[in-house]
Amino acid sequence: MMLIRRITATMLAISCALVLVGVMGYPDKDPISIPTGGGTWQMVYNKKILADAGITEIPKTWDQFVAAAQKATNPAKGIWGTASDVANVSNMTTWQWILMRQYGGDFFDKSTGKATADLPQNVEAMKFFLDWIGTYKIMAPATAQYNASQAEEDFNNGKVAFLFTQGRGNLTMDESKYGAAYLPMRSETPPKDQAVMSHVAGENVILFRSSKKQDAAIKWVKFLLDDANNVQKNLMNGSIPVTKTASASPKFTAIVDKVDIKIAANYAQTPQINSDDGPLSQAFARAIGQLAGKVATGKSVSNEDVAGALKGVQDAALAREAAQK
Amino acid sequence: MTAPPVVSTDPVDGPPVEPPRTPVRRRSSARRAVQSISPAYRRRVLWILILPAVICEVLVYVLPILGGIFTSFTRVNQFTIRDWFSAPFVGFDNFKLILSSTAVGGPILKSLLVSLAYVTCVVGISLLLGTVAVVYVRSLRRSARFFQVFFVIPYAVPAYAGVLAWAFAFQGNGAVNTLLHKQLGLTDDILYLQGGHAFASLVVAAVWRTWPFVFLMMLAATSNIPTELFEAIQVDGGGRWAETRNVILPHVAGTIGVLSLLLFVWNFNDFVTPFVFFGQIAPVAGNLFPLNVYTTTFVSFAYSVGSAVTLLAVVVLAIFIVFPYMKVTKFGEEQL
Repeated sequence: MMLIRRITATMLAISCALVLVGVMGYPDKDPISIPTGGGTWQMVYNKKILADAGITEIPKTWDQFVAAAQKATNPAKGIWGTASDVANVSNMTTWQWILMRQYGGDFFDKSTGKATADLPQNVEAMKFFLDWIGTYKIMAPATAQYNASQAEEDFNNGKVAFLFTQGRGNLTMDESKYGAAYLPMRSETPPKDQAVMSHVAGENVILFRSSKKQDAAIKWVKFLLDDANNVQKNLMNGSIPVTKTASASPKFTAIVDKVDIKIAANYAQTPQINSDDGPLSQAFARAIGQLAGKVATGKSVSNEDVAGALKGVQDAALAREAAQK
Repeated sequence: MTAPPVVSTDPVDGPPVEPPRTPVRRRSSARRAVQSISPAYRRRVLWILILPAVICEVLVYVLPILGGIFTSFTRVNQFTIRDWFSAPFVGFDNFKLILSSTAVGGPILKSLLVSLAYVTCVVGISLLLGTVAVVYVRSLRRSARFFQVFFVIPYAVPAYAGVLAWAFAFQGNGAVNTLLHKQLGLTDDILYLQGGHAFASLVVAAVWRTWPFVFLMMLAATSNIPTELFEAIQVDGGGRWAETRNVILPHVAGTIGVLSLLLFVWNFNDFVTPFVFFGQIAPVAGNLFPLNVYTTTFVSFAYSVGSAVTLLAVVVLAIFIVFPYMKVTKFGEEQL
């Protein structure tokens, strides 16, 4: 027990210097892991496509975004306003959560932890996303079957004006040809709880209580969180630093890193920890993915269709919850 | 019972010569020596000889299957996976969840039906194509039969590579849509991996991979048919159809039965094709059972529910496999 207390004390001491404290464990409980590198989503844009379309201002709201994306879209030339890996579950569970949070929705109720997959806010957010293919026609129908990182490939190949992605790891385009910006929101001044542009991503280190080398483990964590090391490690990894002082390092010159550090500090939220998080969020992404497939084949999808699909996700979550009792 | 004496003929022109009797006598004495060993000892030796195979069978098949069955009665998830065997025992809760909740069981049942339709189509079309190809190849002159090698190529291509090539071909800007829509103008602009087309695309890729195996097996099964039978048909004025119906099909009926069973099991368990095509989000018409179980349970750490679903599916599949197997292999009938 002595050792566990030592680790907890070390982690609590370190956490004072961290930016990403939300991802260290359950809220209001002793931390169980320490982040060593971070990441957030951001919006990147192709400068040439925007210039060709006469777009001079980077959109700050979704209305502005849709208008700009429509201006940039030119299917005859194979250029689309935006792209998304709609059939990539791990991407979509995050992306759909970000959109839902902007609309005031979530996968779970914050106070009770109960599933809330079919909240009207979630339906509204997902309908807006599906409309990118259907109503607004700013995203290619083929994106409904993008199940890896084809959206990033399209962006790197100069076929997409705006892309929402995490970090700079998937961006191979020359940095002078693209810019990075905050994600649009529903208004320029949304309620604070809905000013969400990203989850808090990254990698954490966990020290096991069963470890026989506690001293070495603590030394290792301190080494990783040393400012110079943390800067170097994250520069090489394409991620952002986790300590406040390392975040201020002038070495992070990449445009994406600069935006991500700001988003991590001001607009990133931590998803709730829930035992049903995996099954629910993935079933959610599959349900929306299947609806996107319908939209892509020219069928219309109404609010009721979205609500019906999400009710199926919700019912399955409630059945799982009942079975747990 | 004594073996009949072997009779040989003189190589030049001599009369039949009786072979020396010594080896026969030696064989009989060996047999008598074996028979003199007590049955209990013989049984013991037999058991020792098959013991390595039994141990391997238990380790590789029986224990993992029992582990899977055990898991279906526990709650193994992301919290308990580290100490798997200490996971809480929940009785039939996982089965109740699947069978009593339409939200959970409904999609699984739907994917089971999609899989059965998929298997039926793939096996049926592959058997038909394989049979037609064999009849065609048999009709060729011997020198022209070299070209049959090309029929077998898809079978030699690694499954993943073949399916990946089809997945590329079926993309919106892939070869199929480019050819049929953009170049020939025969179809609309179609996303072949969405909606109902997803099912047809799966079947095309699976048949492409499966039918060469049918072709090979049928070719082997027809190679021993006496040529006199075909000649008799020709003398009677019968054509290709008469040959197929009266000679080829009766000879390969058993092979078709075994092939159907094999192909049923292989294609039902086909995970590569739907996974490479769709990843984790498959349209309803392409959401085959193995992919659905993988994405709805194992990927999201619901290992116990996944085990329970799989166990239920095994029971359902047994109906489709065990009875036909017994019929095809004439299991339980006295061997003559």
